[in-house]
Amino acid sequence: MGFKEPLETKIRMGLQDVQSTKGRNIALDVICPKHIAKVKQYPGLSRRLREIKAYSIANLDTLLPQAISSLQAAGCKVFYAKTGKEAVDYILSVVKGGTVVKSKTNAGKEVGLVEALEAKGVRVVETDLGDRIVQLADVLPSHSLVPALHVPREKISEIFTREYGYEVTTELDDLIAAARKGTLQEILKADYGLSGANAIAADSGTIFLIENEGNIRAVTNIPRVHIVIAGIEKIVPTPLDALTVVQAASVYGLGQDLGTYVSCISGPSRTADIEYRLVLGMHGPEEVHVVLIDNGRTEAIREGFQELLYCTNCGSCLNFCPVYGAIGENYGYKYLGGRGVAFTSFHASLEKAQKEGLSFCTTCESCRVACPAQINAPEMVKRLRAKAQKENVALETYAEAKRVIDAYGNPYGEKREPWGYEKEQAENVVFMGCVSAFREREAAMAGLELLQKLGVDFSTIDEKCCGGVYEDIGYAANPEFVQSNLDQIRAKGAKRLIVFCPRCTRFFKANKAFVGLEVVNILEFLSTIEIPVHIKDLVTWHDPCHLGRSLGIYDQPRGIIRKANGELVEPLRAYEYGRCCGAGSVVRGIYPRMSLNMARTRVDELAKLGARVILTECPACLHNLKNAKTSKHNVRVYNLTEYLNRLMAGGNGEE
Amino acid sequence: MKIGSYEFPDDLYYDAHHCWARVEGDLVVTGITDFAQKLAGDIVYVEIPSKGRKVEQGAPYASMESGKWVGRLYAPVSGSIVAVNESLEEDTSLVNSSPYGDGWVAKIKPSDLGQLATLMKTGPKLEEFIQSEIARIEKEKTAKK
Repeated sequence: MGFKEPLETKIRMGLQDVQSTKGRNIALDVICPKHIAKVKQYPGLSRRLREIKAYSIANLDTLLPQAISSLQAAGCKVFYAKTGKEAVDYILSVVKGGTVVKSKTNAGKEVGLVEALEAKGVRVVETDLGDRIVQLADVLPSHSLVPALHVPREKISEIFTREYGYEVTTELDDLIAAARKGTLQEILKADYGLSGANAIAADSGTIFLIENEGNIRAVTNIPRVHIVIAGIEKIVPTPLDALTVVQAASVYGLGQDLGTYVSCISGPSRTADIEYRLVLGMHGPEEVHVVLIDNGRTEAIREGFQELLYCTNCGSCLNFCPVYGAIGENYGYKYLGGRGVAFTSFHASLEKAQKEGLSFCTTCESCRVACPAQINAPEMVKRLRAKAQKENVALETYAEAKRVIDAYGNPYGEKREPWGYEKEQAENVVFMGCVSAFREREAAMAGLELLQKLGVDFSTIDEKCCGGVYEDIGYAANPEFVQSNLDQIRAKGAKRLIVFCPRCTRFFKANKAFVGLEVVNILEFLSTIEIPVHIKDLVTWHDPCHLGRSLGIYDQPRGIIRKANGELVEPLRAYEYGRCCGAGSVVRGIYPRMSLNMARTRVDELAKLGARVILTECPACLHNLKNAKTSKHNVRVYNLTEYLNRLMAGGNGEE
Repeated sequence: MKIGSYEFPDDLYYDAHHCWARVEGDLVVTGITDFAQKLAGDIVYVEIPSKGRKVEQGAPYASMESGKWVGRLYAPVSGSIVAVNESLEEDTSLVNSSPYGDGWVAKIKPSDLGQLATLMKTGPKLEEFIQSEIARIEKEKTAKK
C-alpha cells in the first residue's frame, strides 16, 4: 500500500508550517492551564458524562426512534441519513438557493456539506468569526476551537477591507466591529440557517447548542428555515443529560464553567396569541429540519468501537496531544487527533485512516486523560492497526518492523550483547528492554551497577523483545519470545521480575503467561529500599507515559528523589498531564523528525524550570530527550537509576 | 575522486571509520563521508560534542543517528575540540546534503598534525577499502533477507 508518501508529506507540511505552530502553541499555553485548573473544580463531571454517553450509545436502538418521534412531535422535520450522501442530498432538496448562514458543524464538515451547497450555486457564509476569517482568507483552519489562529491581524484587516468595501484598520475593536456588522447583515438577509448540535435530548426532542459568540443564536433564530445536521451519537436521554454534555465540553474544551450561551431548541418558533390558535413561525424559524447521520457510526458500535462515539467534539484531546502539537491539522481527516483518525476508519475507510495518520499516534494516552468522556483512543488505534493487518491495508513499515523483530529478537536488527550480570540462581530477574540494550546501553549499565551496589540479588537474562512493540503496531507478541523470557526467568528460581523499561513493565504486568510472578517496575522496587545518596542539584521529573498514565507510577520516583533530599521542581504538564516525549509506538523509529520535534517541545518546557537535571526512567524517553536537547538547553538528562548510581559512586550525579 | 556512486574530494584525509579530515590553518575539520551519509540515510540526530573536549585518534567522540542506524563519530587525529557545528542541532539534513561542507561536525586543535599521515588519501588504497566496504554491506544485506 502506498502510505509512505502521503504520511511523510503530512509530517513535512506540519513541521515546516512555523506560523501555524506558533499560533497553536500560543493557544495551547493559555487553554491547557485553564483546563487543568477548571477540571479540578468539577470532580464528578467526567464520570457522569461517561455514564450518560455509555448508556446512550448502548441504548441507541431505542433512543434514536424516541428522539425522532419527539423531534417530530415538537414540529421538526426529521431525516435519518444512513450515509453522508443521503444527508447531503436531503439538505440540497431543502435548500432551493439563496444564502445559507452557518455556524460550526462537525457533521456538516464530515459529509462535505458546504462544498455540495456551493456546487449547487448556494452562497454559504460562515458566522463564527474564526471560521469566517478562514473562509475569506481561503486558508485551512489550524485549530478546532480557534481556527484562524495562524492568520495575523494585518491579513485580517486586508481581507475585511476587501470584503466590506471600506477601510478596516488592524485595531482589534475595528476588526471585531467590521465582522459583527458584516455578519449580522448576512444573517438578516439569509434564507437558511445551518447549525450542528452538541446534544439532542431524546425525550423532549430538544437540540442543545453551546457557544460564546452568539452567532449560533442568530443563525438558528433569524432565518425562516433552520437546518440541523448532527451525528446520531449526539442523542442522550434527557435535557439534563444534554446539559451535562455541554457543560463537560465547556469545562474540558476551554476551561470554562459553561459557555456564554446555551441554546435549547425544541422545534420551530410558534405562537398561539390570537384566539389561542397555534401558528408555527413567529420571531424564529417556521421550519426546523433535523438531519441525523449514521455514516458508519452503527458499524463502529457493532465492531466494538462504541467509545469513539462518546466524543463531545470539545477539542480537549488535541490540546494535550503531542502529535497535534507537532503537526496540527495535518494529523487526521475532518476530525483531528487519535480519536479523529480512528473515527475516520468508520465515516470514511480504514485505508483512509492509514493515509491520514493512524500510525502517528504514540499511544501516550494524554488524550484519554484530557477527554471528558475518558475515551481511550490509543487502545482503539492499536485495535485498528491490528484490523489493518487482516484487511490488507497495513503499513509496510510495520510489516518490516515485525520481520526484523522476529528475525533478531529486537526492533533494531542488531546482535545482542550479554549484560554481564547472569547468575545461575537469583531472587530477582532484571529485564532491561531493547531500547536500553541498543540505544541507551551506558545508562542501562549504570542502572545495573546501582542494583549491585545496593546488594540486590539479581540476574539478567538473554532478553528477547517482550512483545510490547508487536502489540503497539497491531500484531500479537511473538510466543516463542514470551516463552523464552519466561523459561529463563523460571530457570533462575526468581520470585520477582524487576523491569526497567516502562513499556516492557506494562507488557509483563498484563500478560497472562507471567501470572504468579511478582512483576515490578524498577521504581516500584527502589522505592521500597534505602538508597544512601544525597541529591544536591535542583532536579525535575519527566513522567514516562507508560509508567504514569498507564501504570499509575507517579509517587515512587518523586518519593525516591525526596528521600535523597532532592529538591524537585514540577512542570505544568506533570503526573497524568505529563507531556509525551514522542518516542512511543515506534514513532521514533519510523517518523524520527516528528518524534524529535515532540521531544524538543518537552525539553524546552522542562529546561525553562531552572533545574540543572531532567530525570526520568525510561530508555526511550531518555534517548529521545537527550537527542532533542541542544547546547542552548542548560540542563542534563539522566535516567534516575543512572543518576543515583553516579551519586553512589561519590560524584555529584553529573558526568 | 568518485568510487562507485560516492564522492571523495582529493584534498581530504580518510579513516577506516568513514570520517574525513581537512587541514584548515592549524586546525583539523572533520565529519562523515558521502559513503557514510548515504549508507546511514536520512540523518535525524547529531550529537554535538562539547568544546574543549579532548579526543584521541581513532576513538569515538560523538554519535549520530538516522531512522534505522546509530553510528559513532571517530576522531581522525588526537587533540581537543575547539569548534562544533551548532547548526546541526537545528538542521541535521546538512550532513546528508553537504557531508564535506556545511555538514562538518567538529574542528580539532591537533596535538600532532603528523598523525594525518596514518590516514588515507584518494587513490587505489582508498578505492580498495571502499569497494571492500561496499561488498561487506551487500553481503550483510543478503544475510538479513
